[in-house]
Amino acid sequence: MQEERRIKRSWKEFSERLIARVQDGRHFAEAVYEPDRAAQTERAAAAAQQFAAALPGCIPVCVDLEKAGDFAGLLRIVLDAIFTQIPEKAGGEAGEEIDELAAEFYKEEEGADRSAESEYLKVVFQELLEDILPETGVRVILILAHFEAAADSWDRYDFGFMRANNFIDCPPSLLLYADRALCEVSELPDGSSPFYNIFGDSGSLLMEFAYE
Amino acid sequence: MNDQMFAVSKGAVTGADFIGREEELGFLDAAADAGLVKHISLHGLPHVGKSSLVMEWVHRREADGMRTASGRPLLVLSETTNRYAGFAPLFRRLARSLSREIRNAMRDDRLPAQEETLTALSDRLKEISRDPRREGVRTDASEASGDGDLTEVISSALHAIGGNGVRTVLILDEFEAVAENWTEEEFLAFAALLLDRRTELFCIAVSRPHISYITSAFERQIAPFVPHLLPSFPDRDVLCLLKRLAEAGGEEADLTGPQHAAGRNRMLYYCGRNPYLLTCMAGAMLEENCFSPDEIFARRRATYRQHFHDVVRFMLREEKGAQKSFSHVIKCYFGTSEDYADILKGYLPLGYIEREDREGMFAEVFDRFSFTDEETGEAWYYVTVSPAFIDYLYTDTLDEIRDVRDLLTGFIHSLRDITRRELEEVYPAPADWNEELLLRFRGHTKNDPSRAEYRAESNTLYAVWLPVKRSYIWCTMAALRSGQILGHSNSPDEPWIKDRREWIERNEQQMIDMASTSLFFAAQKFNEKKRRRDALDVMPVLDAISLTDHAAILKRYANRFVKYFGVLGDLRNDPEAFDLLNGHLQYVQDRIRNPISHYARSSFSPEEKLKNRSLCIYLLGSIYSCFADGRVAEKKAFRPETAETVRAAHEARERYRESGVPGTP
Repeated sequence: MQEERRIKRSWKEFSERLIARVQDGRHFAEAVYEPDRAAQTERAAAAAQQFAAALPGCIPVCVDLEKAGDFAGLLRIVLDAIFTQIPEKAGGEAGEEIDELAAEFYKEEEGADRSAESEYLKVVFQELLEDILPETGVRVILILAHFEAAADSWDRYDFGFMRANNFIDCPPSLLLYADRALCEVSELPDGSSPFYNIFGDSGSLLMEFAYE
Repeated sequence: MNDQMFAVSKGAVTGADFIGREEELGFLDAAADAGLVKHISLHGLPHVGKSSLVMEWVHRREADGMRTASGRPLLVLSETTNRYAGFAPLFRRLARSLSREIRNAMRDDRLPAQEETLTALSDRLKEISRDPRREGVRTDASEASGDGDLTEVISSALHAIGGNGVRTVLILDEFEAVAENWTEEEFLAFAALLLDRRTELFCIAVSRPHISYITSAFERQIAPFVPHLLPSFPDRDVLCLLKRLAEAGGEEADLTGPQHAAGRNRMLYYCGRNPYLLTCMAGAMLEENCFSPDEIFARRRATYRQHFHDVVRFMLREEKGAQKSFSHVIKCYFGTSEDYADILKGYLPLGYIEREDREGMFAEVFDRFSFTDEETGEAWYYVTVSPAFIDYLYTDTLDEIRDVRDLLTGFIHSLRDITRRELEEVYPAPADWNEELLLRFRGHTKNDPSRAEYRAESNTLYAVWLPVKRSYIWCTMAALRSGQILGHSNSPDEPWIKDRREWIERNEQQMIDMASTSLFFAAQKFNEKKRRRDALDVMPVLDAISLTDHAAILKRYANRFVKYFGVLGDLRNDPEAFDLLNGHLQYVQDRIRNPISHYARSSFSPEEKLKNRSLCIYLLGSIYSCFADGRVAEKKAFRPETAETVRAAHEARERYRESGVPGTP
């Protein structure tokens, strides 16, 4: 268990830094401590709107993890949101690849093997977000409300998948809202936390915000 | 002020943020270019910068048009192994990445454009990457359908790429995950891929533990990797980091000059030479506009403490066997920062052991020695450590600590009489405990002549440090496994030794592999003319040989050792090296004779004695035969008596071989 520390920040200043980072061609991964569970969804949605307004080439996707169900459910919502918004933002060769992927994604949804769904969706997710979109300049910001629900519905590989610490600035950018520290959400039975690395010091940080 | 410069990394650090490691980058360049080594496994402590190093190397290659330093084209595939719930998902992803890389390479002339075969392969890889039912390795079902498995398709693609003179770099981060996630067949298929020279594959496996500990999860421990330890920052990299700090923070932040040695040392004191911690501290200094390491440490104490926990917990739990030795912490994590190492000297993360202590064997010790950090409310546990105890602790996993519980009982009893009051007598300023207790434990080494004195002072708090070589630890492990040097209890009749027999036989291959790796490195260093004296210091392996009581194991050691002598070259112009080697041979002779007499005394059956004896002689003869058959023949003139001995041993070996004694090949 990591030691928890609290820190208060100004949301305005913080979000401006995140936006500047994306404008700089980079990504971010941050966690917001929001003990008021009812306020989490609202805050997350507001953040998504703020990012959308400030970053025209960017697709903010806001998901309530409590409603999304398991990891496959989350990926399905995210992919659907991206495929819906992407035609406006990408074209050319990458656009064709995206069309191909989207056709397959929706075709797959109609029937077939549900047992391998999560695996399949991870393949599509990686291909789209890690391979194709970086070439188009389109950036995705994934905003997850009620991240604490992941503790019950994600397995270690799901956490590992999202962690993706292999590259600096690995897409998508992540903004997580939880009512506890991340290391607690993602703590595995052996006491380790796969999220600790990606969030580093802030894995145990309870970052609260003053909203103006 | 640039507070981004030292932003704590949330993954690999590359590009402008990357500091130092020029030597290691050069090593990767050489390995990728000249085929100096086929594959590399890069291991090291948490947060030491393993992933960063590899990704920085990739970035630099990318900057050179994705070519090696000498201009040879590269394809790079990089994945984090523990993102995937097994072999097949990982290889599906690799297939997809390879498909894209082939197309990219055709586009920028690394591979010939308009090449139909390559295009078809790229399409095929793309197709199979999206098929979640595709097997990682061939099964009966896929065989029947005539469908290629993932490794087959990837392998044929790599052949085609290699055939065009392009090298494929496969980077697998968090490689330790394969131990849990891959089946025996999958691991073998992967090893086969690596061993296939036509693929022109260069694999870099990145993991915390040494590769041997990962491959030990598999029955057939094929590990075609040359292990490379990534140590903490050397002086020049620390200086480089401090210069960046000065650039970002101005004069006040400049800790580089001789007048700032004290501040610099305090920084190292708190951070060791760990790149992550040093970066954390530099970042905190800039953020808080405070350039006193003491002040920063006080404010950000939790970060540093957490890192201690990470490192030590890693040592105790994740790395099995030798690498969890605390001396390893000092050696490769803290470098030469002896002050800081002192902190860990007295530190045993017994909170962890307590959680694992299902049988309550340490409960009484904890009662006596726990205290609560008033500032954080965190409970800390310390224990008086006797040389005997630490001997067991540092060599064993927790399971094994339980195994030797009986031996520890006496030690625990000796602690019962130590009260908190007595502790306070030793450390008369309890108010300082939170900060200082860790520093106050006295340490000494195994070689300390006053060790006997410490042993007698059963009521004194101290920790024991055993700064021994990695190879020695490995081999001591091997010896321990065979129950030979557990002083109190080395009788084969001891119940716990009997219970362990089966385990020993199952795991001895791991020990052999470690010895083998050690010898391989020694020979490599010797042949590369690096630290030749060290390279020849293979005493620990010899120790392990002499202490092993398994005939079959002796035979395997013998084969490894013979190989070592066989590959040593260029002794011609190095009489000093030859003398050393000769000394080793003498040592082998002595040590191998000892176990022979040991076997004679022990309760082994006559058949076992004969078998062991014959193998010992076979081993001796095999080593000497390296001299006799001309590989080091030129040097015989230096030591005529050696030549004679060699001949005699060689003849003895031949006699045993001819007589068909069991166990000799």
